[in-house]
Amino acid sequence: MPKRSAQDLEHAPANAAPSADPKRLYFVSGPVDFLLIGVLSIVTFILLRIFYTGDRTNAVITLALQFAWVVNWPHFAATSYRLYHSKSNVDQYPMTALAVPWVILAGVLGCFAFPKALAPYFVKLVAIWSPYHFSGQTLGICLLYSRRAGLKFEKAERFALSAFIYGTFIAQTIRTETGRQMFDDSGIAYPSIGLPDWANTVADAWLILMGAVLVFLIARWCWRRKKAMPPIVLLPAATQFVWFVPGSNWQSFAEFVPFFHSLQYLVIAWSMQLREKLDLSPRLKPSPRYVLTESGRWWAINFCVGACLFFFIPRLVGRLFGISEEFSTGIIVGGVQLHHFFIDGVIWKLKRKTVSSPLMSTLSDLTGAAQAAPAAAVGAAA
Amino acid sequence: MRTVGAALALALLFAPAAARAQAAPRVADERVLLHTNAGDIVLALYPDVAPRHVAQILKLVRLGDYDATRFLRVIPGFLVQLADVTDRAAPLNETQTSAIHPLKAEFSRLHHEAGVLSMTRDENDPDSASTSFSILLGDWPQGDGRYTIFGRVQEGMEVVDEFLKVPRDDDDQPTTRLEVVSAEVVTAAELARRPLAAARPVTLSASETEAAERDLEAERGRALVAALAVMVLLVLAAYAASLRWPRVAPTLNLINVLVGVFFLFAALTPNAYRSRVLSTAIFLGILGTFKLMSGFESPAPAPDRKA
Repeated sequence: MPKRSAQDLEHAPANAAPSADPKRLYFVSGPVDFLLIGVLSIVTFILLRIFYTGDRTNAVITLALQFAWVVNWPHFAATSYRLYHSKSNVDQYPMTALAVPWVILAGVLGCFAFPKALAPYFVKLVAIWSPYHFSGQTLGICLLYSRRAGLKFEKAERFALSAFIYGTFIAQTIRTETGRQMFDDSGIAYPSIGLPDWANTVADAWLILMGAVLVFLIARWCWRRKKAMPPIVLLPAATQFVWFVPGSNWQSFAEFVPFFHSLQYLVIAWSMQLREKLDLSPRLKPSPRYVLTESGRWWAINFCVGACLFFFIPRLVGRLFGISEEFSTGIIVGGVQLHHFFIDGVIWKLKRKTVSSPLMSTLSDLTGAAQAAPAAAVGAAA
Repeated sequence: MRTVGAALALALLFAPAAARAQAAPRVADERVLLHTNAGDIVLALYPDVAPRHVAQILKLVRLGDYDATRFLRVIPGFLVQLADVTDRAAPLNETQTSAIHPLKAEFSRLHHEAGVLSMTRDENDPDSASTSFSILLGDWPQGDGRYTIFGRVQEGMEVVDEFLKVPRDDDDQPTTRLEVVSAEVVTAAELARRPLAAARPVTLSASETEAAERDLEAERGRALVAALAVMVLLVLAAYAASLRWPRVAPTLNLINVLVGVFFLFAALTPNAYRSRVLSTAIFLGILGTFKLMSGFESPAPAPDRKA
């Protein structure tokens, strides 16, 4: 989820108020949530660091590409699906739904028309925006779990958490953009910005400082309340640190970071989709069968849309217009990602309880194992 | 003891990039000497790192496959790429053709950096390299472990610098032929006795230079006109929208800001490395734009769909 939605969590309506019920802390269950939100990333990093090379080997690239088909691309599609499958969503976000695609299309056409003057910088903009977008999601998940845990950050704690998370993005980006380097994405070469070396020192110092402040504030929080903060609340931040600081130097791991980001996203979007559909369809009842069939249907749609957006359409455009498929893929995929950043920036805003309440749901609610309350009443009931 | 162990494990996990420091691989006694129309380039090869590639390159050079080939792509700060030998000016004979075959990848832990020789290959097939290779002009970490490094430029990077002065078209192809007139294998001892042709400018006709510069300037000019047109349209749309739907106007203005920032980014980034102030300003500007975009289209208060 993007930063925007995270900020909005504080303004969620009263009847989506935090739940202190520990059973409602996790979307699925403790082990599954921990695994998908961060433990899988961290364990993968440790294993690759100890037992595997840091190089982007052919095996790593192939595996990451296979994951892209089933997780990364569907995660992009899930965003579009969430916006466009309901008229009320389109009506609520008309600019994002109806105007932004045309602006991005203009950008894509501009890149085809000016392959030297514009295309490299279009791809570069996406490359910088992407980790920023990851940071927004990380902060959003931290705050979402804090809400599910029934705790609320004070202003200073929230600032330190946000500064630490975005600090990892800034430190990683500055490392990439220092000095004169060239990068290559889908055969499109683009230069680094050429930041001075001291920028690295400043970014690292800021990150260390904010990390120390965050640790202090969390310790103070625990001391004052005489209880430990649930680890899942801070797990996304720790995970992002691994992604962007030690992980970015280990290329075999860095290749999988978009996969882990997409996995986190799909957990939340899946829960949201199932809860929302249940709430909007009075004839549907919570049951394991419902969870299985709706999950399968939703994933299948996202798989097909993802394959079209990232594989078939770029190749089709390349062939139809006589553009190299590699170039066409680089630009169209960049456009799809930009669109994703925009949509993600608006659809997870929790000012409305139709957004915030379903995010408080659990798997037990969906299977009917728990006393499933209507979404609008979940927060109040808790 | 357990604490010490944990500290060691942490140190291992979070070791800095400096840990990637690598020992220089052994260089073969045989060197490849490229006689180009801008001077001589000496290539040192790594037989322990990429034995199959080194053997193939040496064999093809001895057979004369690389004579009359050309540098196909020139991208300052990134690479110069030698074209496949089948693209050369003179046709290959039967012996020369039969010696060419795809090479199984020999990826290593060496890093792509200035002066490194890296084999070109089909992006989807790691075992498709055959004769084309690139001379890296800067760091390219994305290539590490994905492309076979088989040597480095021992002498003659100033010749490569001359290549960079030649105007290029939209596909980064030099508008004047950068030719490998001939290539030969020489031992280190022979090389020490041989005078090398110094770097010299590749002769360009005035018309070629002018045409290339004109093309680039024309593209930039057209892009600028397009940018201005898009921004004017967005301003008009925001104005019209403000009359009927006031809530839409700020969002359209945000889009306009993004479009403007993007064009500034595209115009200033190519030369930003020359000025620390400019590069820092670009970076901060991008961060500010992202922050601004996080306020894009705040939701309107609306009734819930289901009570």
